[in-house]
Amino acid sequence: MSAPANEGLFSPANMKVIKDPFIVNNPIAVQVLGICSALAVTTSMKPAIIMAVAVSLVTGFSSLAISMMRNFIPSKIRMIVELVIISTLVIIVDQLLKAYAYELSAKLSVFVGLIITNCIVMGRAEAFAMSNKPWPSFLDGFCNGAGYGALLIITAVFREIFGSGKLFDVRIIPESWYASNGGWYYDNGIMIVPTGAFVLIAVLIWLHREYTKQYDK
Amino acid sequence: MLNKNSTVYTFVFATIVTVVSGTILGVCASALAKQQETAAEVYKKTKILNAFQVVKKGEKVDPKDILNAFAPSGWDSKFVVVKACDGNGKKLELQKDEILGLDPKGEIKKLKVAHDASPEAEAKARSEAKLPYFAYYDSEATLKADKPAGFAMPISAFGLYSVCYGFIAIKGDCETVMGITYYKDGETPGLGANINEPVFQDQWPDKKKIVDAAGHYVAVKASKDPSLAKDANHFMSLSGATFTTNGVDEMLKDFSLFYTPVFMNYKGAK
Repeated sequence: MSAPANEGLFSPANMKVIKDPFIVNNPIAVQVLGICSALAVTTSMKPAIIMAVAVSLVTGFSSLAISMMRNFIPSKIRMIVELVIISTLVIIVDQLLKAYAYELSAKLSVFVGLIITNCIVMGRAEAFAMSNKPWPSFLDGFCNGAGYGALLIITAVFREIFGSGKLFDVRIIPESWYASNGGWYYDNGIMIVPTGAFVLIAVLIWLHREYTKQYDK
Repeated sequence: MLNKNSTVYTFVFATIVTVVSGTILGVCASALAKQQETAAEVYKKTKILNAFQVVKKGEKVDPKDILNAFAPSGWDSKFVVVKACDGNGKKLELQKDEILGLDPKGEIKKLKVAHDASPEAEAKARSEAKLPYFAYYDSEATLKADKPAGFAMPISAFGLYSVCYGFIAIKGDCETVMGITYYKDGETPGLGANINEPVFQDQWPDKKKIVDAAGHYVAVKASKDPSLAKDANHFMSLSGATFTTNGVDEMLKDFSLFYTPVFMNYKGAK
């Protein structure tokens, strides 16, 4: 995929770069990348949103930096340079979270650091940023991160509501419904373990393929 | 025209990238260091107040109030005072900064080694130990009379991936658990990390005791049997997190072995 030269900021080609990661070429639903962290950080909404923002920013700015340097990077150490840029950005995000959102940083634990190994970031650097101009590269990186984040958030909505009866830590399912209070309802335990995320993501991939029909062609 | 694939170019390019990224990270770390230190302090102190049930989990409190609770000024007539004792529960006259600089995990490790070696070695280690703890006072009157409404002791043990650090708070009756909180762990989200979730947390406040029916100090132990886990001296094992549960078991055993003399002394003074 490459954007033509001399395009406007939001030209049709750039709009395609923006839209594709959400439906046609979603990193999770189509490319099945970034599954590990998708299982780990989607038990509730807050960590899922923070992870979505962090991955979008890291992928966007790493693609931007790599694209700006693409004509100077020696091909022999191409991937090492990409990794250094991605690692620098991930460490900055981690430092900012530790300074301004310490509790969420503790909750996300190793998974912020593991953005470095997220295939989406390196994948976009290799597949797009190394052969495109900075602005389309930034859009491609950021929107791929956002496409990944969108699926994280959809998964987290279901897991938080059915796993703990809450959304954004606010109770959705009334306490009086619970069996422990004389009602009939139990939280669905499978939703708070990674197995629940696997099932949900599989259902989302199935729905996505039914909607796009791109595998029927 | 530069040859991008020459060894010299590659070496110079790699050096420049490394120096630039290192500089950016260095500047970032220095600029954020103070803010990170304050955030970590507020987080840890919030966890202590969570254990005392003074601040509910998820409750929004001004960080200044959290820090004030640990300062002489107090927060809304609530005071948390840091203290230290030896392994026999005898109070130690140490400065606040000195106590905060103590390493409770290291102190407990030394006591465990001595405990396993011989009674004489344990007695010596207990008299030399410096164990920090926090006393909570719910009014100025109780602060002046030194009648704490609760005590919080640091607890730690290895879980599945790393050491879990937390606090156990005991009521002023020196028997009833007020709460357990963890401020640092690397356990699996959804499994071992549930030590931070209601499924584990809710079974402690006012439900568990560190004394048995005869009034002897005992360690609260893990149980896989739901009916036994309702007992005041047992807690429910975490499903799918055997190593984390073993870690919690171990830290409660250490707490019972080496911190209970503090309560005996307070009870004796009553």
